[in-house]
Amino acid sequence: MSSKPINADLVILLAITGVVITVAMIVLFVVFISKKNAILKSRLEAKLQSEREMHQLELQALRSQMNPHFVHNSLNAIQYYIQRNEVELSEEYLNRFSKLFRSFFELSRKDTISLKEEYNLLENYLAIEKMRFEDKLTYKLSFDKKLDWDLPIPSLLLQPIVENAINHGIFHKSETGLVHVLFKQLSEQNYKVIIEDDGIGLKKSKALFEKSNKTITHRSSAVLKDRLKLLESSELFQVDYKIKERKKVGGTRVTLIFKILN
Amino acid sequence: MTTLEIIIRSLIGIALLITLVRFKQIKRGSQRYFILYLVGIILLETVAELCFKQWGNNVIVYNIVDVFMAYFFIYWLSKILINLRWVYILSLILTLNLILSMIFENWIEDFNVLFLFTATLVMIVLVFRFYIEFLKSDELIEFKTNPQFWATTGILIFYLGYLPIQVYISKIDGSLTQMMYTTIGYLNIPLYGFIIVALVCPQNR
Repeated sequence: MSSKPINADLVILLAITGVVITVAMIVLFVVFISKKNAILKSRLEAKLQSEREMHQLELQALRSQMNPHFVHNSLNAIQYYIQRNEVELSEEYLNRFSKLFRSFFELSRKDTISLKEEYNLLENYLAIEKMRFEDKLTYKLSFDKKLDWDLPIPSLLLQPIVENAINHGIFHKSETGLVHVLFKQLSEQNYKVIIEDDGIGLKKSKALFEKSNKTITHRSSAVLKDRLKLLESSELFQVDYKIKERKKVGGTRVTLIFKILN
Repeated sequence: MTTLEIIIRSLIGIALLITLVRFKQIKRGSQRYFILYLVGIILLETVAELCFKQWGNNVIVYNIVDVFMAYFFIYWLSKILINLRWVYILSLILTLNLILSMIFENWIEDFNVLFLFTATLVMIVLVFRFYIEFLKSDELIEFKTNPQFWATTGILIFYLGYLPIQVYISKIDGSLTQMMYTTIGYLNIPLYGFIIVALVCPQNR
Protein backbone atom coordinates (compact mmCIF):
# COMPACT_ATOMS: atom_id res chain seq x y z
CA MET A 1 0.00 0.00 0.00
CA SER A 2 1.42 3.37 -0.95
CA SER A 3 1.65 6.18 1.58
CA LYS A 4 -0.46 8.61 -0.44
CA PRO A 5 -3.91 6.95 -0.21
CA ILE A 6 -3.33 6.29 3.52
CA ASN A 7 -2.42 9.91 3.95
CA ALA A 8 -5.59 11.03 2.17
CA ASP A 9 -7.68 8.59 4.20
CA LEU A 10 -6.07 9.82 7.38
CA VAL A 11 -6.79 13.42 6.51
CA ILE A 12 -10.45 12.57 5.88
CA LEU A 13 -10.60 10.58 9.10
CA LEU A 14 -9.05 13.41 11.07
CA ALA A 15 -11.46 15.86 9.49
CA ILE A 16 -14.35 13.61 10.50
CA THR A 17 -12.87 13.38 14.00
CA GLY A 18 -12.69 17.14 14.15
CA VAL A 19 -16.35 17.35 13.18
CA VAL A 20 -17.25 14.61 15.69
CA ILE A 21 -15.39 16.43 18.47
CA THR A 22 -17.08 19.73 17.58
CA VAL A 23 -20.52 18.12 17.44
CA ALA A 24 -19.82 16.23 20.70
CA MET A 25 -18.86 19.48 22.41
CA ILE A 26 -21.93 21.29 21.10
CA VAL A 27 -24.20 18.43 22.22
CA LEU A 28 -22.41 18.29 25.59
CA PHE A 29 -22.88 22.00 26.24
CA VAL A 30 -26.47 21.99 24.99
CA VAL A 31 -27.29 19.05 27.29
CA PHE A 32 -25.58 20.66 30.28
CA ILE A 33 -27.12 24.08 29.71
CA SER A 34 -30.63 22.68 29.20
CA LYS A 35 -30.28 20.43 32.26
CA LYS A 36 -29.00 23.40 34.26
CA ASN A 37 -32.00 25.45 33.15
CA ALA A 38 -34.32 22.57 34.04
CA ILE A 39 -32.80 22.36 37.54
CA LEU A 40 -33.06 26.13 37.99
CA LYS A 41 -36.66 26.04 36.80
CA SER A 42 -37.60 23.21 39.13
CA ARG A 43 -35.84 24.98 42.02
CA LEU A 44 -37.71 28.15 41.25
CA GLU A 45 -40.98 26.25 41.07
CA ALA A 46 -40.19 24.53 44.37
CA LYS A 47 -39.37 27.90 45.90
CA LEU A 48 -42.60 29.39 44.59
CA GLN A 49 -44.51 26.37 45.83
CA SER A 50 -42.99 26.68 49.29
CA GLU A 51 -43.74 30.41 49.25
CA ARG A 52 -47.33 29.62 48.30
CA GLU A 53 -47.51 27.06 51.09
CA MET A 54 -46.01 29.59 53.45
CA HIS A 55 -48.65 32.09 52.40
CA GLN A 56 -51.35 29.52 53.00
CA LEU A 57 -49.98 28.80 56.44
CA GLU A 58 -49.70 32.49 57.18
CA LEU A 59 -53.27 33.02 56.04
CA GLN A 60 -54.42 30.12 58.17
CA ALA A 61 -52.52 31.52 61.13
CA LEU A 62 -54.02 34.95 60.53
CA ARG A 63 -57.52 33.52 60.35
CA SER A 64 -56.91 31.73 63.63
CA GLN A 65 -55.54 34.91 65.19
CA MET A 66 -58.95 36.56 64.92
CA ASN A 67 -60.60 34.01 67.14
CA PRO A 68 -59.30 35.21 70.52
CA HIS A 69 -60.43 38.73 69.79
CA PHE A 70 -63.94 37.63 68.98
CA VAL A 71 -64.05 35.08 71.81
CA HIS A 72 -62.98 37.74 74.27
CA ASN A 73 -65.83 40.05 73.27
CA SER A 74 -68.44 37.30 73.22
CA LEU A 75 -67.47 35.91 76.60
CA ASN A 76 -67.64 39.42 77.97
CA ALA A 77 -71.23 39.66 76.69
CA ILE A 78 -72.18 36.32 78.27
CA GLN A 79 -70.59 37.44 81.50
CA TYR A 80 -72.67 40.60 81.25
CA TYR A 81 -75.94 38.58 81.03
CA ILE A 82 -74.90 36.33 83.90
CA GLN A 83 -74.10 39.35 86.01
CA ARG A 84 -77.58 40.67 85.23
CA ASN A 85 -78.93 37.25 86.22
CA GLU A 86 -80.63 36.76 82.86
CA VAL A 87 -80.22 33.01 82.72
CA GLU A 88 -82.33 32.33 79.62
CA LEU A 89 -80.65 35.03 77.62
CA SER A 90 -77.21 33.92 78.74
CA GLU A 91 -78.10 30.32 77.79
CA GLU A 92 -79.35 31.43 74.40
CA TYR A 93 -76.29 33.55 73.95
CA LEU A 94 -74.05 30.66 74.93
CA ASN A 95 -75.90 28.33 72.59
CA ARG A 96 -75.58 30.69 69.64
CA PHE A 97 -72.03 31.42 70.55
CA SER A 98 -71.02 27.75 70.68
CA LYS A 99 -72.66 27.15 67.29
CA LEU A 100 -70.92 30.15 65.81
CA PHE A 101 -67.64 29.22 67.41
CA ARG A 102 -67.85 25.72 65.98
CA SER A 103 -68.51 26.95 62.46
CA PHE A 104 -65.85 29.59 62.98
CA PHE A 105 -63.24 26.92 63.69
CA GLU A 106 -64.41 24.69 60.88
CA LEU A 107 -64.36 27.49 58.34
CA SER A 108 -61.05 28.96 59.48
CA ARG A 109 -59.30 25.77 58.32
CA LYS A 110 -60.52 26.36 54.78
CA ASP A 111 -58.92 28.80 52.34
CA THR A 112 -62.21 29.61 50.73
CA ILE A 113 -65.83 29.11 51.65
CA SER A 114 -69.05 29.75 49.77
CA LEU A 115 -70.82 33.09 49.95
CA LYS A 116 -73.66 31.29 51.64
CA GLU A 117 -71.40 30.03 54.43
CA GLU A 118 -69.92 33.49 54.91
CA TYR A 119 -73.39 35.02 54.86
CA ASN A 120 -74.70 32.54 57.46
CA LEU A 121 -71.69 33.12 59.65
CA LEU A 122 -72.17 36.87 59.50
CA GLU A 123 -75.86 36.47 60.24
CA ASN A 124 -75.06 34.37 63.31
CA TYR A 125 -72.39 36.74 64.38
CA LEU A 126 -74.59 39.82 63.98
CA ALA A 127 -77.41 38.10 65.88
CA ILE A 128 -75.03 37.50 68.77
CA GLU A 129 -73.76 41.06 68.65
CA LYS A 130 -77.36 42.25 68.55
CA MET A 131 -77.89 40.38 71.81
CA ARG A 132 -74.85 42.07 73.25
CA PHE A 133 -75.70 45.60 72.10
CA GLU A 134 -79.48 45.16 72.37
CA ASP A 135 -81.26 48.26 71.06
CA LYS A 136 -78.05 50.03 70.33
CA LEU A 137 -77.46 47.91 67.26
CA THR A 138 -79.52 47.08 64.24
CA TYR A 139 -78.25 45.22 61.26
CA LYS A 140 -79.24 44.43 57.74
CA LEU A 141 -77.89 41.76 55.43
CA SER A 142 -78.70 42.14 51.74
CA PHE A 143 -77.90 39.60 49.08
CA ASP A 144 -78.25 40.31 45.38
CA LYS A 145 -80.67 37.80 43.87
CA LYS A 146 -78.53 37.48 40.77
CA LEU A 147 -75.49 36.54 42.82
CA ASP A 148 -74.60 32.86 43.04
CA TRP A 149 -74.58 31.63 46.66
CA ASP A 150 -71.92 29.07 45.80
CA LEU A 151 -69.29 31.54 44.62
CA PRO A 152 -66.13 31.36 46.73
CA ILE A 153 -64.84 33.95 49.14
CA PRO A 154 -61.69 33.93 51.31
CA SER A 155 -62.93 32.42 54.54
CA LEU A 156 -63.77 34.69 57.47
CA LEU A 157 -62.55 37.82 55.74
CA LEU A 158 -65.71 39.84 56.31
CA GLN A 159 -66.32 39.00 59.96
CA PRO A 160 -63.43 41.09 61.37
CA ILE A 161 -64.53 44.05 59.22
CA VAL A 162 -68.07 43.76 60.57
CA GLU A 163 -66.60 43.37 64.03
CA ASN A 164 -64.61 46.59 63.55
CA ALA A 165 -67.75 48.38 62.32
CA ILE A 166 -69.57 47.42 65.51
CA ASN A 167 -66.76 47.86 68.01
CA HIS A 168 -65.31 51.08 66.64
CA GLY A 169 -68.22 52.61 64.75
CA ILE A 170 -71.41 51.75 66.61
CA PHE A 171 -70.01 51.13 70.10
CA HIS A 172 -69.01 54.76 70.61
CA LYS A 173 -72.24 56.13 69.16
CA SER A 174 -74.86 57.30 71.63
CA GLU A 175 -77.90 56.47 69.45
CA THR A 176 -78.84 53.24 67.72
CA GLY A 177 -76.44 52.28 65.01
CA LEU A 178 -76.96 50.35 61.81
CA VAL A 179 -74.57 47.91 60.20
CA HIS A 180 -75.43 47.03 56.65
CA VAL A 181 -73.72 44.23 54.76
CA LEU A 182 -74.50 44.11 51.07
CA PHE A 183 -73.48 41.40 48.64
CA LYS A 184 -73.79 42.57 45.05
CA GLN A 185 -73.01 40.93 41.75
CA LEU A 186 -70.81 42.85 39.31
CA SER A 187 -70.38 40.21 36.63
CA GLU A 188 -70.41 36.45 36.45
CA GLN A 189 -67.08 36.07 38.26
CA ASN A 190 -66.96 39.42 40.03
CA TYR A 191 -68.90 40.61 43.00
CA LYS A 192 -68.60 43.20 45.68
CA VAL A 193 -69.34 43.30 49.36
CA ILE A 194 -70.12 46.59 51.06
CA ILE A 195 -69.96 46.81 54.83
CA GLU A 196 -71.21 50.14 56.06
CA ASP A 197 -72.11 51.55 59.42
CA ASP A 198 -73.50 54.87 60.56
CA GLY A 199 -71.22 55.00 63.54
CA ILE A 200 -68.75 57.68 64.59
CA GLY A 201 -66.59 57.32 61.51
CA LEU A 202 -62.94 56.68 60.93
CA LYS A 203 -61.48 59.95 62.19
CA LYS A 204 -63.29 59.99 65.52
CA SER A 205 -62.67 56.30 66.04
CA LYS A 206 -58.96 56.84 65.40
CA ALA A 207 -58.85 59.75 67.81
CA LEU A 208 -60.62 57.73 70.49
CA PHE A 209 -58.34 54.85 69.94
CA GLU A 210 -55.23 56.99 70.28
CA LYS A 211 -56.53 58.34 73.59
CA SER A 212 -57.28 54.85 74.92
CA ASN A 213 -53.72 53.52 74.33
CA LYS A 214 -55.10 50.09 73.39
CA THR A 215 -53.10 47.79 71.17
CA ILE A 216 -55.50 44.94 70.49
CA THR A 217 -57.44 46.82 67.80
CA HIS A 218 -54.25 47.72 66.07
CA ARG A 219 -53.41 44.05 65.97
CA SER A 220 -56.82 43.17 64.55
CA SER A 221 -56.47 45.77 61.79
CA ALA A 222 -52.92 44.67 61.14
CA VAL A 223 -54.09 41.09 60.83
CA LEU A 224 -56.72 42.16 58.30
CA LYS A 225 -54.12 44.17 56.43
CA ASP A 226 -51.75 41.21 56.38
CA ARG A 227 -54.49 38.93 55.13
CA LEU A 228 -55.36 41.31 52.33
CA LYS A 229 -51.69 41.63 51.44
CA LEU A 230 -51.26 37.87 51.34
CA LEU A 231 -54.38 37.57 49.22
CA GLU A 232 -52.64 39.74 46.63
CA SER A 233 -50.41 36.80 45.81
CA SER A 234 -53.36 34.43 45.75
CA GLU A 235 -54.08 32.62 42.52
CA LEU A 236 -57.74 32.33 43.43
CA PHE A 237 -58.76 35.92 43.99
CA GLN A 238 -57.99 39.45 43.24
CA VAL A 239 -59.35 41.50 46.11
CA ASP A 240 -59.72 45.24 45.98
CA TYR A 241 -60.20 46.73 49.44
CA LYS A 242 -61.35 50.31 50.08
CA ILE A 243 -62.30 52.00 53.31
CA LYS A 244 -64.02 55.40 53.29
CA GLU A 245 -65.61 57.86 55.66
CA ARG A 246 -69.34 58.32 54.93
CA LYS A 247 -69.53 62.07 54.84
CA LYS A 248 -73.27 62.64 54.44
CA VAL A 249 -74.70 60.20 56.97
CA GLY A 250 -71.56 59.65 58.98
CA GLY A 251 -69.89 56.33 59.63
CA THR A 252 -67.61 54.15 57.58
CA ARG A 253 -67.96 52.20 54.37
CA VAL A 254 -65.72 49.30 53.45
CA THR A 255 -65.95 48.08 49.88
CA LEU A 256 -64.42 44.81 48.82
CA ILE A 257 -64.42 43.82 45.17
CA PHE A 258 -63.69 40.18 44.53
CA LYS A 259 -62.50 39.00 41.18
CA ILE A 260 -62.39 35.22 40.97
CA LEU A 261 -59.31 34.19 39.03
CA ASN A 262 -59.68 30.42 39.01
CA MET B 1 11.38 22.96 18.14
CA THR B 2 8.20 23.70 16.19
CA THR B 3 5.62 26.36 17.06
CA LEU B 4 3.17 23.64 18.06
CA GLU B 5 5.71 22.11 20.46
CA ILE B 6 6.37 25.54 21.95
CA ILE B 7 2.62 26.09 22.45
CA ILE B 8 2.13 22.67 24.09
CA ARG B 9 5.14 23.00 26.38
CA SER B 10 4.06 26.53 27.28
CA LEU B 11 0.60 25.23 28.18
CA ILE B 12 2.08 22.47 30.35
CA GLY B 13 4.39 25.04 31.98
CA ILE B 14 1.51 27.47 32.60
CA ALA B 15 -0.58 24.65 34.06
CA LEU B 16 2.23 23.67 36.42
CA LEU B 17 2.85 27.28 37.37
CA ILE B 18 -0.85 27.78 38.17
CA THR B 19 -0.85 24.59 40.23
CA LEU B 20 2.12 25.82 42.25
CA VAL B 21 0.78 29.37 42.66
CA ARG B 22 -2.72 28.21 43.61
CA PHE B 23 -1.59 25.21 45.61
CA LYS B 24 -2.89 26.64 48.87
CA GLN B 25 -6.35 27.10 47.35
CA ILE B 26 -6.49 23.78 45.51
CA LYS B 27 -4.71 21.53 47.99
CA ARG B 28 -7.98 20.19 49.35
CA GLY B 29 -9.69 19.88 45.97
CA SER B 30 -9.55 17.38 43.13
CA GLN B 31 -7.27 19.72 41.14
CA ARG B 32 -4.33 19.01 43.43
CA TYR B 33 -3.61 15.65 41.76
CA PHE B 34 -2.66 17.45 38.56
CA ILE B 35 0.64 18.57 40.06
CA LEU B 36 1.77 14.94 39.97
CA TYR B 37 0.54 14.55 36.42
CA LEU B 38 2.17 17.71 35.13
CA VAL B 39 5.52 16.97 36.78
CA GLY B 40 5.36 13.42 35.38
CA ILE B 41 4.60 14.64 31.87
CA ILE B 42 7.40 17.22 31.95
CA LEU B 43 9.88 14.57 33.07
CA LEU B 44 8.74 12.09 30.42
CA GLU B 45 8.82 14.74 27.68
CA THR B 46 12.37 15.62 28.69
CA VAL B 47 13.39 11.98 28.63
CA ALA B 48 11.67 11.58 25.20
CA GLU B 49 13.63 14.54 23.88
CA LEU B 50 16.90 13.16 25.21
CA CYS B 51 16.19 9.69 23.84
CA PHE B 52 15.44 11.10 20.40
CA LYS B 53 18.66 13.08 20.42
CA GLN B 54 20.68 10.10 21.66
CA TRP B 55 19.16 7.19 19.73
CA GLY B 56 16.78 8.78 17.21
CA ASN B 57 13.89 6.81 18.68
CA ASN B 58 11.66 7.70 21.59
CA VAL B 59 8.67 5.46 20.89
CA ILE B 60 9.13 3.58 24.16
CA VAL B 61 8.98 6.83 26.12
CA TYR B 62 5.71 7.82 24.45
CA ASN B 63 4.37 4.34 25.14
CA ILE B 64 5.19 4.96 28.80
CA VAL B 65 3.54 8.40 28.50
CA ASP B 66 0.36 6.68 27.29
CA VAL B 67 0.44 4.26 30.25
CA PHE B 68 1.13 7.09 32.69
CA MET B 69 -1.68 9.25 31.27
CA ALA B 70 -4.19 6.41 31.26
CA TYR B 71 -3.49 5.32 34.83
CA PHE B 72 -3.32 8.88 36.12
CA PHE B 73 -6.67 9.77 34.56
CA ILE B 74 -8.24 6.57 35.91
CA TYR B 75 -6.87 7.41 39.37
CA TRP B 76 -8.14 10.99 39.11
CA LEU B 77 -11.55 9.90 37.84
CA SER B 78 -11.76 7.42 40.73
CA LYS B 79 -11.35 10.42 43.04
CA ILE B 80 -14.26 12.31 41.51
CA LEU B 81 -16.66 9.49 40.68
CA ILE B 82 -19.22 8.38 43.23
CA ASN B 83 -19.82 4.90 41.87
CA LEU B 84 -16.45 3.17 41.55
CA ARG B 85 -17.68 -0.16 40.19
CA TRP B 86 -16.89 0.89 36.60
CA VAL B 87 -13.46 2.14 37.62
CA TYR B 88 -12.56 -1.23 39.19
CA ILE B 89 -13.84 -3.27 36.24
CA LEU B 90 -12.26 -1.08 33.60
CA SER B 91 -8.95 -0.79 35.49
CA LEU B 92 -8.76 -4.58 35.58
CA ILE B 93 -9.48 -4.85 31.85
CA LEU B 94 -6.90 -2.16 31.11
CA THR B 95 -4.26 -3.86 33.23
CA LEU B 96 -4.90 -7.17 31.46
CA ASN B 97 -4.52 -5.37 28.14
CA LEU B 98 -1.33 -3.75 29.36
CA ILE B 99 0.10 -7.19 30.12
CA LEU B 100 -1.01 -8.50 26.72
CA SER B 101 0.42 -5.43 25.03
CA MET B 102 3.77 -5.93 26.79
CA ILE B 103 3.80 -9.56 25.67
CA PHE B 104 2.64 -9.19 22.07
CA GLU B 105 3.77 -5.70 21.07
CA ASN B 106 7.25 -4.35 20.61
CA TRP B 107 7.27 -1.28 22.79
CA ILE B 108 10.68 -0.14 21.62
CA GLU B 109 9.81 -0.04 17.92
CA ASP B 110 6.02 0.25 17.76
CA PHE B 111 3.24 2.07 19.52
CA ASN B 112 1.29 0.05 22.10
CA VAL B 113 -1.89 0.08 20.04
CA LEU B 114 -3.65 -2.65 22.04
CA PHE B 115 -3.20 -0.86 25.34
CA LEU B 116 -3.85 2.56 23.85
CA PHE B 117 -7.09 1.52 22.20
CA THR B 118 -8.38 -0.03 25.41
CA ALA B 119 -7.28 3.01 27.42
CA THR B 120 -9.14 5.28 25.02
CA LEU B 121 -12.38 3.33 25.37
CA VAL B 122 -11.92 3.17 29.16
CA MET B 123 -11.45 6.94 29.32
CA ILE B 124 -14.48 7.67 27.16
CA VAL B 125 -16.66 5.33 29.26
CA LEU B 126 -15.41 6.80 32.56
CA VAL B 127 -15.84 10.37 31.36
CA PHE B 128 -19.42 9.57 30.36
CA ARG B 129 -19.93 7.92 33.76
CA PHE B 130 -18.79 11.18 35.29
CA TYR B 131 -21.19 13.16 33.06
CA ILE B 132 -24.08 10.91 34.08
CA GLU B 133 -23.31 11.42 37.77
CA PHE B 134 -22.71 15.12 37.23
CA LEU B 135 -26.02 15.57 35.40
CA LYS B 136 -27.78 14.13 38.44
CA SER B 137 -26.06 16.43 40.92
CA ASP B 138 -26.86 20.01 41.88
CA GLU B 139 -23.27 21.05 41.10
CA LEU B 140 -24.37 21.05 37.47
CA ILE B 141 -25.89 24.50 37.97
CA GLU B 142 -22.40 25.97 38.08
CA PHE B 143 -20.78 23.60 35.61
CA LYS B 144 -18.93 26.44 33.92
CA THR B 145 -16.85 26.94 37.07
CA ASN B 146 -16.56 23.27 37.89
CA PRO B 147 -12.94 22.07 37.55
CA GLN B 148 -13.97 18.43 37.20
CA PHE B 149 -16.20 19.25 34.25
CA TRP B 150 -13.43 21.08 32.39
CA ALA B 151 -10.75 18.50 33.09
CA THR B 152 -12.96 15.59 32.02
CA THR B 153 -14.01 17.48 28.88
CA GLY B 154 -10.33 18.00 28.04
CA ILE B 155 -9.72 14.28 28.53
CA LEU B 156 -12.75 13.43 26.37
CA ILE B 157 -11.62 15.64 23.48
CA PHE B 158 -8.10 14.26 23.67
CA TYR B 159 -9.15 10.61 23.59
CA LEU B 160 -11.94 11.11 21.06
CA GLY B 161 -9.40 12.69 18.74
CA TYR B 162 -6.82 10.03 19.55
CA LEU B 163 -9.15 7.20 18.55
CA PRO B 164 -8.89 7.46 14.73
CA ILE B 165 -5.14 8.02 14.94
CA GLN B 166 -4.79 4.69 16.72
CA VAL B 167 -6.41 2.97 13.75
CA TYR B 168 -3.58 4.26 11.59
CA ILE B 169 -0.74 3.95 14.06
CA SER B 170 -0.04 0.40 12.86
CA LYS B 171 0.38 1.75 9.36
CA ILE B 172 2.89 4.40 10.31
CA ASP B 173 5.75 4.90 7.98
CA GLY B 174 8.27 7.69 7.75
CA SER B 175 6.00 10.05 5.85
CA LEU B 176 3.15 9.76 8.34
CA THR B 177 4.94 9.88 11.66
CA GLN B 178 5.26 13.65 11.62
CA MET B 179 1.58 14.08 10.78
CA MET B 180 0.61 11.78 13.64
CA TYR B 181 2.71 13.75 16.09
CA THR B 182 1.27 17.01 14.78
CA THR B 183 -2.30 15.77 15.22
CA ILE B 184 -1.57 14.46 18.71
CA GLY B 185 0.07 17.81 19.39
CA TYR B 186 -3.10 19.63 18.38
CA LEU B 187 -5.12 17.35 20.65
CA ASN B 188 -2.84 18.34 23.51
CA ILE B 189 -3.99 21.97 23.18
CA PRO B 190 -7.60 21.40 24.35
CA LEU B 191 -6.37 18.86 26.93
CA TYR B 192 -3.98 21.25 28.65
CA GLY B 193 -6.15 24.26 27.88
CA PHE B 194 -9.04 22.68 29.74
CA ILE B 195 -6.74 21.49 32.53
CA ILE B 196 -5.64 25.13 32.93
CA VAL B 197 -9.30 26.21 33.06
CA ALA B 198 -9.90 23.49 35.69
CA LEU B 199 -6.95 24.76 37.71
CA VAL B 200 -8.16 28.36 37.75
CA CYS B 201 -11.70 27.31 38.70
CA PRO B 202 -12.70 27.81 42.32
CA GLN B 203 -11.59 24.98 44.56
CA ASN B 204 -14.11 22.18 44.68
CA ARG B 205 -13.96 20.10 47.82
